[in-house]
Amino acid sequence: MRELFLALLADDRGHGYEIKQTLEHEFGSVMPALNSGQVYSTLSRLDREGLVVGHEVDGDGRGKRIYELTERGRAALAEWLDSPVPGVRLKDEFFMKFAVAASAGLTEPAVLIDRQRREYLQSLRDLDARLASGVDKVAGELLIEGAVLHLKADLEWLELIEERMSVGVAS
Amino acid sequence: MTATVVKLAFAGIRTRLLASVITVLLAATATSTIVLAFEVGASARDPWQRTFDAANGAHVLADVPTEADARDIAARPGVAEADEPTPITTAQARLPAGTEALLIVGLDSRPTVNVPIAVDGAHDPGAGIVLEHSLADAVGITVGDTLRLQAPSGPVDLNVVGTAISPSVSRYPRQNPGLAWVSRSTLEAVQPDSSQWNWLAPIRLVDPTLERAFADDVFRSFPPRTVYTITAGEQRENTLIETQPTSLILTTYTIVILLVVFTVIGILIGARASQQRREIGLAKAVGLTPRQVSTIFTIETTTLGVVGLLIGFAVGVLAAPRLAQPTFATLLGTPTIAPNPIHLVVAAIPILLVLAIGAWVSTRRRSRLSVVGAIRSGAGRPGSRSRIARLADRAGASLPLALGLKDLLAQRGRAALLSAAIAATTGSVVFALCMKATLDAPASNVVSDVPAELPALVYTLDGVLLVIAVTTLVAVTILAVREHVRDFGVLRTVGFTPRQVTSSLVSAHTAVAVVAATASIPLGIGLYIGMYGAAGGDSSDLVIAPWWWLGLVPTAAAVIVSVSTGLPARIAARTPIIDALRYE
Amino acid sequence: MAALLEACRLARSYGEGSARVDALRGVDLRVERGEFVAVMGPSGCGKSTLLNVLAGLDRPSSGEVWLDGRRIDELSETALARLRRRSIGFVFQSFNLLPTLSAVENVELPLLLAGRGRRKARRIAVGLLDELGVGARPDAAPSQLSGGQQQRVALARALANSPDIVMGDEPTGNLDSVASREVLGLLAAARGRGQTLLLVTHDARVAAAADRVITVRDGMLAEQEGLQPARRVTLPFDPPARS
Repeated sequence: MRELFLALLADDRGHGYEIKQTLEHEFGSVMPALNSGQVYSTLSRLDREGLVVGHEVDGDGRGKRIYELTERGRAALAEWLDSPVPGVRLKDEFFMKFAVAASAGLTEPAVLIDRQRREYLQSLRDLDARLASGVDKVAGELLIEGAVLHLKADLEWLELIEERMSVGVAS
Repeated sequence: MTATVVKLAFAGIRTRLLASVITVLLAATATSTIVLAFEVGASARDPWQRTFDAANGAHVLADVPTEADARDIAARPGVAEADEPTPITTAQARLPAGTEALLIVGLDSRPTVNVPIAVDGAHDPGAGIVLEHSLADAVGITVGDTLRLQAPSGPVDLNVVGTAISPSVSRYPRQNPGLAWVSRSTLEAVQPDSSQWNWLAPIRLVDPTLERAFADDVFRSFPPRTVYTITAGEQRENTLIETQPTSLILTTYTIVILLVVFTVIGILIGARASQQRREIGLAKAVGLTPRQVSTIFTIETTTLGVVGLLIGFAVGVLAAPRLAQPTFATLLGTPTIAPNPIHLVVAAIPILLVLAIGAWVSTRRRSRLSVVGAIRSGAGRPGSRSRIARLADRAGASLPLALGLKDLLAQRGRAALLSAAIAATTGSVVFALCMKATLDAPASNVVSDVPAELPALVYTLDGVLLVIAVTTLVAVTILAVREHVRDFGVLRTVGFTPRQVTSSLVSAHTAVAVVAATASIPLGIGLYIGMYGAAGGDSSDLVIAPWWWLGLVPTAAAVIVSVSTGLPARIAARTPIIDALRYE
Repeated sequence: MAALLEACRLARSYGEGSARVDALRGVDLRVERGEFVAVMGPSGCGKSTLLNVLAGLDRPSSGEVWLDGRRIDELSETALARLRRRSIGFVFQSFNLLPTLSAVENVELPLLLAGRGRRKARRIAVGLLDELGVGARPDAAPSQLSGGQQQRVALARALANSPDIVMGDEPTGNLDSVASREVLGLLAAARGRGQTLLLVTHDARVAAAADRVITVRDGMLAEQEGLQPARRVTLPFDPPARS
């Protein structure tokens, strides 16, 4: 979250409300809606940490502050950009459900897998439908293709789990 | 690495057995015809000299009008030895084939120069007659038969007491009329009118090298067209000319066979190289350089060529005496086997050169492809647009035929080579048919000029060519089938029946064969006319095979091609589809 | 109503004794007219064998296959060939276009086999190629086309005679994801026009587009799933829904 703010300020200094608008516009449906208070409190925190600095703008009666990045801010941003997103993701919601349910004997593992498979296939269908109905941004297309590939991988994983199960490896 | 290269070459030979066998067969055939062409001529040279020496041959033999002329010549300077003049005249003789003129020589006593050498029976005619050996052979008269001569007073029956040869007499029927020896009294009885006689003066010279000058001298000292002379050198030439038609045939067939060799090797190398394209790619991936790949292939082909050469040389050397045998009807002794290695070398040069160069060039072209290109190109051929195929399409050819032609003609090189090989073979058959037609021509009272063994030689060579052609067709079909197995599978999934699949392969090859065979008819006829003229034949005797014989040639070609392509094609068409589709 | 394609107790085994492999062990299957059925399963499960038997490319060891009310597992090779002309279109993983024919000639082939005149066949073939987006170079040889283009030509060939059913064995197997998507789109479009499809695939995307997904495991059918119509997917930068 903080890095987003830094990135948004990298180009140009901006008002708090400009940042709020951009956030809403670009990431509105992914993040919970931020109200102005949350925006400004984040900016203040960044100010205290010395990553941004706020100026009073004269001639603007409402007394809004304009924020811009400091040197430390730029450095922090650069470091964020340079570090790759961690690759190892060992947290999977389905796997947790599967592990717990299977070991506790709560439900038939095969049924669980089947249901999940159907959900994945359905999601694939949903994503393809969305592609077919048109995505105006390239980023959107890429996002969907990424999700498709992840789903394909997940389906393969399901098959693997099923195979291992039939061989009798205890979960 | 060299050991590996050599090992791979020999592995290649083992895996492609049929193609290897064909290569050896071709090289052997070409070599034997080349060797035969040389050997047949060579085998006659020495025996003539032996015959001449044994007969105390005449350096100059003169045929003059009067006895006085003969003694005149014998008295000239430079003469080392001369015999008594002998009378010679013509008489009508009743031969098995009909009445024919015969030259009879009246012997007073045993001659000393140009002595007839007895082959069968006695050399002294006595009260009977001694026939020249090749004459007796040709007309089928043996010792003990009776020969009837026409005399003004009535027929004279003579007992055939022997056959003999003479170095001055050519082989019958080249020597026409044939020659026979009788006693002087018999000759007087047959032809009492001595003005009808000529006289023979056989001369041996002190210096044989002057024989030409001596003969010219004699010739000039007489009115034109009254005297006939022949030197020892000319006698030898006449004998050697015997072998000329045979040599001519052999040379012509050598050229034809070499043509077939080149076309068939071209097809085989092309096909093997295209099959090896994929292997070449894999081999290169394994680490062999393009040069090493070409080397493997060239070694393979050249080795097979050498094997073929040796076999062909042995065959040629062994067969040469048999071929020369008829020539020896006028010579002493039997043809000797004196294999001349130079002939092998001369035969080897063109054959090995073509094999090696062909192999090298065709693999170099293919191994220069990148690895991926080579592997991928093994999976299919470029779809080249063939004008002929499009024509067939538009002409309403059936779908299998149109498709088969497209496939066949897509590999233009192979189609052209196959057509050439078929045309060469059928052209030779046309040649043989024309020869047979000429021999069968009605004129039965005229003995044919063509030596009897020639047709046998031609038929044998044609037989060999046919065997080669059929074997090649089968091999080419097997190759084509192997290359098309997958396509056949695809065709059947689209809805081709197995019969349509077979038909596409068979009908296309048959169509090409019929076209090639038809085109070869004028070629074969032209070849025959040319050969006949070159062999000194009389053009009024020349007969071309009738059209219904010639029509058989394309028909037979169609049948043979259908059969030889049909079986492999049928097997391929019945391969289960899923196996065919997995084929690579 | 009779199904378009029906298989009863299909079994197919290879080899004898200890070397015997049971590729199919008693499979029952129905495909209705107009359905798009996908067949999935781990490799070696027998799904390709199943397809081959259903298409008449292979004979079952036992069981029956009925296509449009006609029993096809006992037909002769010649009768099967005629059947394939009109009733079954096939799409392969490796395209299997005839290399010596151009694209349009490949598509023409089933039309000519079915007895259409030359000119009509050419017209239909060109039209099909245009429809599938490869009409620009009808005279190109297959080797000159990309994988995706070749598969589209192959699909045109399969659709040429408007067959009762189009069967495919991994039709997107040799294609990259972009070409896969395009070919899948064309298949879906054909399905939308009423074409019955039966595709073996390991591509989950193809399966997701199907009306029904059949899973084969160890020569037997495991489950048959039908999916729901697509649900709505919102992207991060879609305007948030005002509720």
